[in-house]
Amino acid sequence: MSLKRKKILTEGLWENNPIFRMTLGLCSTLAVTNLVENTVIMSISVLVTLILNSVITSLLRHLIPERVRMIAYMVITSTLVIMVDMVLKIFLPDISKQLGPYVALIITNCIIMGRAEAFAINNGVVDSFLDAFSVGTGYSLSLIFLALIREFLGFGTIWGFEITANLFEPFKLLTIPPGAFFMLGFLILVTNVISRRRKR
Amino acid sequence: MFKDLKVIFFMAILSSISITLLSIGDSIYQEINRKSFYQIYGQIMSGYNMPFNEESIEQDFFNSFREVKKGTRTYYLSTSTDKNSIVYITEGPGLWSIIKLLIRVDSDRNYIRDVTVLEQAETPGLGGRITEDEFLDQFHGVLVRPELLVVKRAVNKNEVDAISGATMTSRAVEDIINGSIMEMDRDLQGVTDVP
Repeated sequence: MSLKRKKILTEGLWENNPIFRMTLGLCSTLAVTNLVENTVIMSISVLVTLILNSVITSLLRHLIPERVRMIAYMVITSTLVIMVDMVLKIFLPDISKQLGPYVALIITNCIIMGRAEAFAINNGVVDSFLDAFSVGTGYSLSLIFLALIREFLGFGTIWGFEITANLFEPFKLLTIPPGAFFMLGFLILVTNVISRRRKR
Repeated sequence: MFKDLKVIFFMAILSSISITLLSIGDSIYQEINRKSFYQIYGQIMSGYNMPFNEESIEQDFFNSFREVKKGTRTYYLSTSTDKNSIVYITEGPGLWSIIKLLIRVDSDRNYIRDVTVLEQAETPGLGGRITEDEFLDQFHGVLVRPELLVVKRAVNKNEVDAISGATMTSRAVEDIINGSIMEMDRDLQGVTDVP
């Protein structure tokens, strides 16, 4: 694998991490990360949409007229997200009900349009796939990390299993979106400190 | 001019492909969804432990229930098991979303037998937990007179525990149920029991 591709693959995980470094797609991040199970399904949905969207955009990059490229992204993304939403409704109706409107809101997730505009429109299919996979994985891992902390401290469980056995009073603030804001801010602080140290 | 035509042509083709894919997807989804309406019949009948056949579910259902339609609401009154108990679907506003409930009421219309959440989009992990058995099991045999109350710690026969951290959604469920019981009293006033 060429050096460039390796760089693309690792960039989304840290340098271009959508949540902690680019702070994109935060609406769904704050809303769904209070339970690990929901977060995993949400992450997979975003990952699938992101990869397909980048690949299709990249395939069509010579055909899409520059003036209407944003509209073209929107059409492709909406089509994909509505289909993902239907698949979830059919196969995972319970989780789909829990996630409520947030799956449909993937359409407005800046990460997806961001990757199309910043990368897929100018790069080949394989590179675009790798880029989407990398950023999507970075998104998923960040969300799952956040969800692990929030579910553990907020409910005392992980993936619905009781872990703490009432060792401490669950920290209810973390289960609601404002609590997610605090947690996310703290994690962004931590990642910023780490990346500054690494630069020195 | 030629460029404009190219743009229009491109968007027309892209949109057509998108619409075609979505309508195929939607027709598959609707097909499965139609079965989900039968699922409600199935759900009601399994709540009563009634045997039914997937093939003839509609017929089986109407063999055991009579339908009373009043305005937008439909009530199903049992004519066999647990005779004259009432089942209906109701909906109302939750904190963020519309909550749709399936409610089964005792034949003397004073107790709830069962509450099932059919649809909701409350905060996942908080209000969304109204779908969990821990919350819903409390409604078996709860008194709705003078009215149902969702409280911190249930003591009386007409009280159930709220979900901690989701008081607003719990209260919304309380309001939906109380409102629907009032409507039921009005709608079914003249409807007499079958002997």
